Parts: sequence; C-alpha cells; structure tokens
Amino acid sequence: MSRPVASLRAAWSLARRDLVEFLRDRRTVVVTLLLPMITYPLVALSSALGVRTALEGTTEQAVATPLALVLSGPESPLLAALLGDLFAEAEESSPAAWPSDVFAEIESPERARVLLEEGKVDLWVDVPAGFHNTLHDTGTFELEAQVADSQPAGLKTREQFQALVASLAGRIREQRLEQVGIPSSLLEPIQLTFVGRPPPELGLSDRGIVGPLAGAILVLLAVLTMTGAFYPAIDAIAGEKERGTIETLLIVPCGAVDIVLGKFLAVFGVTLATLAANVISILLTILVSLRFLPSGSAGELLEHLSGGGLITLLAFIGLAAVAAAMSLAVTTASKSVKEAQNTLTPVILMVSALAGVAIVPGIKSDGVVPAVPFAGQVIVSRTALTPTRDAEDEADLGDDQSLATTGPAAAVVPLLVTLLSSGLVTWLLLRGTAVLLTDEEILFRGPDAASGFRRPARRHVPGVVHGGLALALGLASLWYVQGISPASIVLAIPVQQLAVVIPLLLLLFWQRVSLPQTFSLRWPGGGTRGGRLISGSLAVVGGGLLGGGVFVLGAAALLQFGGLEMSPAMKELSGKLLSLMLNQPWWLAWVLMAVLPACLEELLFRGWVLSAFTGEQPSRKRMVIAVVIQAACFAVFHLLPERMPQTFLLGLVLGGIVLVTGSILPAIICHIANNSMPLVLLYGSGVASSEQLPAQLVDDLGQVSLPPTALVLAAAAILLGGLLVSWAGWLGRRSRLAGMAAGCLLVAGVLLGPRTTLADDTPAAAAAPATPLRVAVMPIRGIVEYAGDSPRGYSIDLWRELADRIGAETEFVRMGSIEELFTATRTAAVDVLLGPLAMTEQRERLVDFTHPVAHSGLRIAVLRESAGGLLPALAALLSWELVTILAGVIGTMVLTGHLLWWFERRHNADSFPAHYPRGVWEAVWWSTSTIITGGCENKEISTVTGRLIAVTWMIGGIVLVALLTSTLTATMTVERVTGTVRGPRDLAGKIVACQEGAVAIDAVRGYGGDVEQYDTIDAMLVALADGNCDAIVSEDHTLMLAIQESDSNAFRLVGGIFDSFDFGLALPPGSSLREPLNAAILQMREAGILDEIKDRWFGEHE
Amino acid sequence: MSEPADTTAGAAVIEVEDLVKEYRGSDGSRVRAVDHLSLTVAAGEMVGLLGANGAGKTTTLRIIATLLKPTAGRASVCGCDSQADPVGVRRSLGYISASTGVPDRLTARELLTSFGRLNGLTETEVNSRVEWLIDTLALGAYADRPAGRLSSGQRQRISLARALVHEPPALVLDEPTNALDVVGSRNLLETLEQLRGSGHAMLLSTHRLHEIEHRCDRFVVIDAGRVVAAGTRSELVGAGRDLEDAFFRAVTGGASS
Repeated sequence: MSRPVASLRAAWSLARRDLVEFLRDRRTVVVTLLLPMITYPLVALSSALGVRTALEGTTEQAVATPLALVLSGPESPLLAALLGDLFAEAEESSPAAWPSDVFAEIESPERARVLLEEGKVDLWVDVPAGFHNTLHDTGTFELEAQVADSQPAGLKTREQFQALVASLAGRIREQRLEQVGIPSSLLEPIQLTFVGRPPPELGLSDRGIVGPLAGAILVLLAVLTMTGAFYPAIDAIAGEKERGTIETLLIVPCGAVDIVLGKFLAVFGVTLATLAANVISILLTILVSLRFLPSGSAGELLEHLSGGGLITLLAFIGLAAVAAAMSLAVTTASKSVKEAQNTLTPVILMVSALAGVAIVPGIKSDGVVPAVPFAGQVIVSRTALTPTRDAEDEADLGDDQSLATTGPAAAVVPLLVTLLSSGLVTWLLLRGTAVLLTDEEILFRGPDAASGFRRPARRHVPGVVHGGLALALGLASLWYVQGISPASIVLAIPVQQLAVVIPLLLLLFWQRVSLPQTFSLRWPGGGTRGGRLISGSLAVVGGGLLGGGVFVLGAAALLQFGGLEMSPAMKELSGKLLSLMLNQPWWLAWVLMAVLPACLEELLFRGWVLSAFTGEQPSRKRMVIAVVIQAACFAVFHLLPERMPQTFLLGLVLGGIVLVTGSILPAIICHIANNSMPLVLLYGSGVASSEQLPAQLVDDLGQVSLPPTALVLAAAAILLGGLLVSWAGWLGRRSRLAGMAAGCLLVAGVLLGPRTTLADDTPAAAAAPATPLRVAVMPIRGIVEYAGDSPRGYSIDLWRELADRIGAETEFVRMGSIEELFTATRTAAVDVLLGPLAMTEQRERLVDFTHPVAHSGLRIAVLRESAGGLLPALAALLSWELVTILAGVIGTMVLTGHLLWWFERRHNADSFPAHYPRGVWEAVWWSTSTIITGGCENKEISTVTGRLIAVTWMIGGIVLVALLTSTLTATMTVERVTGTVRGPRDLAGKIVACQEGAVAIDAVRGYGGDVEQYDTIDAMLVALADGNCDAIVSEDHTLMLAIQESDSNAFRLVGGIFDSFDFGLALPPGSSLREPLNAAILQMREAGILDEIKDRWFGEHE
Repeated sequence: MSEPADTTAGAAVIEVEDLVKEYRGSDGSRVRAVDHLSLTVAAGEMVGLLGANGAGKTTTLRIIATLLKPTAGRASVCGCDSQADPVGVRRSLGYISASTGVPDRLTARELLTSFGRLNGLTETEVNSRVEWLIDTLALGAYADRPAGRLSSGQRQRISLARALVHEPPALVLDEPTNALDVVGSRNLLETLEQLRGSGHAMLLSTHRLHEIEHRCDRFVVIDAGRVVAAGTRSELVGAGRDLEDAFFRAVTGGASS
C-alpha cells in the first residue's frame, strides 16, 4: 500500500496556493481590511455620542455650577461679610475645596423676591435682626433660605449653600469655644489625613463603563473576525466545487484530512489577518477617540489593554480557528456557492448570538462557559479586559465573589480552558469536514438532491438527526418555559414536562416511525405464554428495585461527594418539592413527581432518543454509545449540576433496562420507583407529620446522613433488581448484554460508602439584674437585644460599665420608638436615655447629652444585583430605545428589499422574481445578507437604480449596525452608571427607608431622597428585599449588623460613611447624672474601654 | 496516420472487474448505475468508453479515479486497488473530466507548481516538470496569465497539464472535449495521441464519436451500466457504415436483449 505524500507539506502548499487565490479576490480584501477600518471609528463615534447624551442628565449634578445668592434683611451685610471672609480664607488655603464662584448681592426683600422669581438668583436668604446677637451668644439662629421654584438643580444649590453655612457654623463654633476657653481640639480628638494616590474620580471613568464597552467591542470584534472567514471558506470549498476544481484536489495522493487541513490553514490565515486588521483598527480608534469618549474611560480601557490585551488576542486566535473550521465545515456540506452562502449566513448569525453573551452582565468566565465555542473566547477576553476591582471601592459585607473574578490574572485559567476547547472543537470540525468532503452525495449529486423540505419517508426508528432534534428542541423549549413557568409547583411540573414532550409530538407528525419499535412498546421478557408472564413480572419487579436502589445510592453519593452546600437554585427546588409533598395530598404529589415525569421522560429518552441513536440493527458498541449519550442528555435536561450525576446514573440504568428487556415498561416502573423514593422516605421517616417548615427541612437536608442499613438495602435492591432484569432479558434472548449488565451492577453495588454527619447547637445567653436607675432602651439589633426579659448588646455593656463607675443600680425600661424615648426623657419619666443617640442641635434643645461615647455615621445599603439570572439581564437590555432601533433596522431592511425588488423585478427576474411574495422574499434576503456579511454573492443587480440602492445599503448597513451596537453599549453603560445607588449623591429621587425619628431622615432628605419610615431595621430590610424601597440609610454599625444577621446574601453596603455624628447618652434637661456620667465617659475613653466595648460587638465583623 | 495498434501492446494498466455501483435515489430506492462492468486498458493503449447519457460512463471513471466507492467489484490502476490503496491509484493516474476546471485566479504556472507539490515532487522536480509541460503542451503563450481570462480550449490544456504533472502512467478522461470547439478538441486529441505514443494508458469517454473513431485503439460500449459491445473499430463497425451506426445498433440491441 502506497504511503501518502508527506501530509503537512501537502497541506502547507495547498494553503499557500489558496491564500494567493484569496488575496486576488477583491471581496476578501475588502472584508478583511476595509470593513474593520471603517467600522470601529463609526462605532466609537456614535457610541460616544450616545453615552454622552444619555449621561448628560446624570452628570449635571457632578459639575460645579455657580451659586448666585441674594441677601436681604437688616443684618444681611454681616452674613455677606462672614461669607466673604470664609472665601478669602478658603482661596488662600485650598482653592479646590470651595466653590469659588459664589455671587452674593444685598437687596431689599421685595427686589430679592423678584430676582428669585425671575430666576436671576438661586437662593434668597433673609437675615432678620438678631443674627449678630445670637452668634455672639450661645443660641442657635434660625436662618431661612428660599430656593427658586424653577430651579432645575435645586438639590445642588441646597447642597452648596448648606456646605457654605456648615463651614461658617464651624468657624463660629470655634470662636465660641475659644471664648469659653475650651480648645477646639476637644471636639476633634482625631484628625485623619489620607496619604497615597488619590482615589479615582467618580463619574464616567468609573469601572462600570469599561465592562459593557469592552463587551460590545469584543462582540463586534468576534463578528467581524467571523466575517473574515466567510468568503474564503465559501471560496475554498463551495467555490472549488462550482469551478470543478475540488475533484482535482481529491485525486492527489494525500488524504482528505490533509486537503482540509490545507484549506483550513488558508482560511485561518485570512481570518487571522482580519483579526489583526480589526485589532489594529480598534487600537487606533481608541487612541483617536480619547477626546471623544467620556473622560477617562478610553484611557482606562487602554490601561487595561496591556495585561488583558494579550489574553484577548490569544483567545481570539482560538475564536478565529473555530470560526474558520466552522465556516469550512458548513461550506463543505453545501453543494454550491449559493447554498453555502445561504447556510453560512444564519450559522454566523446564531454564532454571533453566542458571542453576544459577552455584553450580558452577570455571566462570568467560570465553570464550563469558557469551553463554549464563540461565547467562551469573548467572555474570557471580557474578564481579562475588565479591571480588577479594588477592595476599597465597594465595602461589601462577607466575601465579595466578584473580587477576584476580573482582571488578566483571573482570566488565565479560563483562557487555557477556552484555547483547549477551541483546539478540540477545531480539530473535530476538521475531521468532520474531511468526512463531508469525500461524501459522494454532497460531492456529485448536485444541488437538487437535497433541496426541498419534504416529509421524510416512513422509517422503523427515527434517524440520529431526529433524535438530536428532539433533544435540542426539548431542551430549548424547557429553557424558555423555565422563565415563564408558574410559581406553583403543582402547575410548573406538568408545564415543564409538556415543554419537553411537545417537540417530540411535533416530530412524530413529521417523521413517521414504527411506534412499537421506536418506543419499545412490548411486554418485557419472552418465551411461552406463561414464561412471558413470569419473565415480564421479573423485569417489572427488577426495574422497581433498581429505581429505588439507584435513588438511595445517588443521594448517598451526592451527600458524600457533593459537599454540604447546596446551590440556591437547588435549595429552591428542594423546598418546592418538599412543600409539594407536605402540602398536597400524597397521591397528587406522587402523580406529579413520579408517574408523569416517568412516563413522559421514558417515552422521550428511552423511546425516541435511544432508538434513534441505536438504529435499526444496532451493534453492541453502538448500543453502549447510545445508552451513554441518552443518559448524558437525560442528565443535562435536569439543568442543575447537583442533580446531574444522579440522573446520569439513572439514565444509564434505564437505558440498560430497555435494551436488556426490549421493553419500556420496566424502565417506566424503575423511573417511578426512583422518583417515588423521596415521598416514601418522607412518610416513612415520619418527617411528613412534623411541624417543621419546608425551608428548614431543606437546610436540614444538607445535614442528613443515610444510615448504613439504608445503603446496604439499596445495594441489595440494585443487585437483586439487576439480576431480575438480566434474567428477564436472558429469557428474552438478549443474553450477552444481560450478562454484562449484571456484571456492571455487581461492581456498582460494591462501590458504596456510609458516612455520618454531626450537628450541634449553640447555647443561649444568661440573665441580668434590675435596679432603681430607670434607663430607657429601644431594641436595635446589636445595640440592645432582648433575649427573654434581659437585654444585651453594645449599649447594655456600655451602660453596665458606666453604672459600675457611677455606682448605680439599673432598671431597663423598654420602649418602642425614638419619639417615645424622647418624650420619656424630656419629661424625666426615665433617668437616662441609653441610645446612644446621634447628637444633633435639634435634639440638644430637647434633652441634655453626655459627652460623646462614639463617633459614627450613616451608611447606605442596597440590594445586591442579582448576578444569576440571564433573563433579568436580558430584560434590562430590552430598552424601548433598543426596540425602536431594532425595529428601525428591520424596517429599513424590508424597505430596501422592496425598493430593490421594484427596480429589479422587470430586468432581473432570475434574482428577483416579479411575483411579489417570492421576489420580495429574495430581495429582503439580499438586504439581510448584505448587512450581515457585506455582500450577497448569488444575486445579480442589473439596473443602475438597483445598483445605487445596493451601494447605499452597503454603506448604510455599516452605519446601521454601528448604531445598533452603540445603542446597546449606551443603554448598558447608562444602566450601569445610573441604575444603582453607589453613594449618598445617588439617593436623589430614590425611595429610601429610614428608621422613624432617626437622624438619617434629615440627611436623606438633604440629599433629595424620598424617605419612607419604618419602625425597625428589620422592617427596612424586608422593604428593601421586596422592592418597596431603593436603599436603606441607617447608622453604620447597626446596619452592618442587621445585614449580617439577616443571613441573606441579598444586601450590601455601598459607599463610605457619610454625615457622621457624635453619639452620646441623653438625659432629662438639667439632670444631675450628667457630670458623673461625663467623668465616667472620659475615664473610659482614656482607658480604651469605649473602644473595647465597641470592638466586642462590632469590631470583629469589620 | 493513426492505425489501430496491436491490442497486446503492453500489460494491463487499468483493470475494472465486475464493477457494481448503486446510488440511493431521492425516494429512498436503490438505483444501479453500474452493473457488473469489466474492462482493461493496457499501456500505450487508448480505449474509448461510449454510452448514452446516464449509461454509467462518468460513474465508472470516477470509481477508477477513487472519487467514488464501488458497491461491489474492483477497479485497479497499475496494480493498486482503488479501495485498498487509493493513494497508490492517485499516484499513477491523471484525471480530467468535463467538469474539472482550473482556478480562475491562478496562472497555469502557479497551478502546475502547486499540484506538483501536492503530488509530493521536490522543488527541483516541480520546476523542471512544469517547464517541460509548458513546452510540451505549448502553454507558453499564456502560462503566466490568470486562467479566468483564458479560452475553454486553453483552460482544458492547462487541465491536461495538471493531470500529467506527476507523470502518471494512466490517464482517465471523462468527456474532455465537451466544452471545446472543433479546433480545441482536435488540438487536445492530437496531444493525447502523442501521449499514447509515449506509453500512457488512456481511458476516454465522449459523446462525439466521430472525433475518436479513428484515434482509439478499442471501444467499450455500455448501456444501463452494462457492457453491450467491445472491440476494435473494425470489429464493431463490421458491415455497418461507421462507429455511430455500430454504437446505435449495440445500444438498441442491448436494450432489446
């Protein structure tokens, strides 16, 4: 036998030849070089404009605007002078700290009002008599400032003026302290200065923008890279077929694989060139667009290109390889250039959709995602290009999962995965292409042989294609139904089952098959009449035993290897199933959980799919492959990774049963038995009658361990069941396979391991004494908590320490609201208000405060963005704007098609038939194909008008695509920047939950938020979780503790502490306790006891 | 000038034995295109394969060229079986059909060079062989122009050069003159006759009987995949007028028997 020509040399020489050929084709050069060079500048320009316009409203507040004041009243000159001093001082020290462009004028009240109403000034401050006196006295002067109604930036004005007055007040405070001889340092024990690099400017350079922008560019890059493979691939094989040169290649003395490899190298070369041109164009565009893009973001992009760029390039080389191989495979399966184009266009569209996942936030480059061709490469690149998050940026509670999931370092392992998968997929595609290349049908039978969409001839069992189709359609339909399925599990189960089975029913109409043979509708076993009955019964009983055993075994394996942590989705499902079993009658639960799924799934998997993969007269090897494939599909259909091992095992057993017994009946029984086990166990263990809630039971599930006896029983059931089924199979003359199955089951039975788990409980706390001093407390988590009658918490510890020092006995008086506390204190109904309360001037007027015991501030909590759902992320994408533009693009496409058809139909009936539906169909196909691939090979356009339309469309198409991409980018970016609360400034216009009577209320109102008041912090958390408010603002420590103790991952703290206050104990006015308490507080501060108590309750969590 | 040569001039180069080829029809039934067909071609012999459209000529030639797999029977070239050793067959065979073309965007020289490499020739072998072919087949005038701008005759000569680039002892030609005008086909056939003189075994199918009537050494007439007549021109024509007449008789006779 002759050895083929050294294959790599042949492939290489073929590749060289083909490359020369491609480069002499104008289209290739245009698509490779020209298209990228125009696309990116256009996208950059339009998306920059889009982002800018959309952001104008939000950035406005961040820009310093001049503040125009008008002052009136007898003592307005004094205020003006004070402000003037303030500015003079501020400009000397640090000009940046102050809005230097504040204009103040003094007018009569009437004139001032007119000025305000005319919008000439932002604020009118009337300064009545007594201002001077109050300032030099010890009182508080009430100053009123009128804001213009027509003011668009009213919030900003208030903020600016408030800051002004606050610093003025600060100066006066200092003066007052000086007068009474208290050094100002008393009130400021610590002065904090940050050294090091200043924090990045907020706004558009914010990291939020880089993700979506990079994502959109990556998708575009992926699509254009794929387009680079389009013409070469068509030319390389379909073109050669049409020119009759493919035969000449097939008779050279080297293998088909070598020919395909040569072709691939050539197409890959062009694709790489396209990629290179695109990358160069992107880099140039970024450089040029530094001035167009919102400040900082392009620079940020560029900065991160250094590390992530290399990874992106590598990942995209993988993408180019897969794209080249895929295009080659598709064109090889086509019989003509026209067919190749008509097939490759939708394929590229679909694949582009895969790449499009990169702009969906929340999809991360972990798990199997990097291995998915086209999506993997893009997502890995996005991970590499997204800057690493700094820990200081978002002070999250607990472990922030996104902390280490971005940046080049995090992308290295996914990159390896994606490159490995790219290589593998490419190689498989090339092997497939080699088979297709020499396929006689495709090579010689001409385009007619496969054209048309006729109903296939009746068969005994479905073909592999239809088997795969049933799976794909079922999975797709299941996926969609997941999103819309009813919340009630009683309805959800049938809906999901139907979703899986309906495609099968449709396929049954299309491909007629022999039902008994396809679905193994036979009585199991064989032999004579009596023997049949016996062997059939054996099979059925064996099936049931196997099902039950496999469940127990699978559950044990899950507990053994799956770890104790269940994913939220799994928990939710378990909870739903448990509630179904506990809340519904047992028979309904049984039908829904066991009977219905067993029947329908068996018909699909062990009926249609298994017979499709085994074929009519299966070899043993093919049977094994078919069983494994359908079991794998069966596992995938259960969607949750935790369930897959168990379902895979079950699938293997069920497939084996059907093949061994030749009947689907034992498989159905086995499946029913398997699915019934939870019910049996639940009722058998007596849990069903207990009072526990399903949610608690789910938590307990992770802690459950199966007793060794259960495992032994399960193993015995499997062995016995396997033997019975094998015996039945042997009676039905399928002895060898039956023997094998029995052997396998024996081995499986041995692989068992019992295991135990322990659970323990934490003991509760002790009690506290009662005494004469009446101390008012209000339960706030961590501050004051009631366990039974005795309070505990930070404040209680603090008070005990103080009480020890002043030698007092205590009686705690529990109260429900801040108002109540104040009333009681003011009226001296209690002796001490043990807050600690934020010390504000307003409160100071009502009660006496001790020295501050703590310093803290307000903090914002918001809902953590749900990262899991694809659907919500997609829904966020579907803005009205996007729909409009999409509709516009499609509309233009259809319109252009009509126009073209109108001008061409008389002169060019071949390409555009005069018959309206057919002609327009062809024309719209042309316009679609042109916008996606930059041209349409198989349509001649003959008239001058037609050509003008075509040229306009080709150029306009690029703009339209750019517009669409940029809208997507803009939508997502704006969503990122404006959608969430990131700091107090973002509270404007948001509904904010605050505790009744808390200082937070005023602070939030000051920032323009709408305050909703709740009586406890837990109620606020509930409101946030239910979406009744956008954010919570409360004192830092209590909020942090409440979130931690809520034991939910749903909340997170954002921004830093703002509006800080001193906290102290409140006393009735003129209380004699003030002096001893102040002394005790100062002692404790000096001894570090205050901090120690604080650390005891809050410190360790930070 | 070209009298039929002795049929035993050389050893059999192309051998076809009991060849059967079935296709699956569009309705799922099986269609037999070649039905127990046997023939041989010796070195230095030119054999004409004659048959109506759909008689199975192209299928037979493609099986010999390893492009199709036979359902039953065997075909071999230079002792290499087309099934067991397709690479060996491809080494010893040049193949042209009416549908084989040349790439539009390559010049003849580039095409021949690339095929030389694909056939495993070394660079020096490739260069000398390409020069020799350009000289012998008189391609010089258009060897460096893209083939897309050449006439059908010129392209078919390039095709022939391509089939000869690896010096195959056997040539299979499926209606090589189909797209050519009178001058073009005459040129091509004369070149083929020269090649026969240098010892090539040639199997040639065509519809234009008059063109090859006096050029081929032997003829095999097939109908519905079966050989209905075979022999030299004189054997076939017998008392009849010419080859066309003989062909017609053989085909209708084969159909009625």
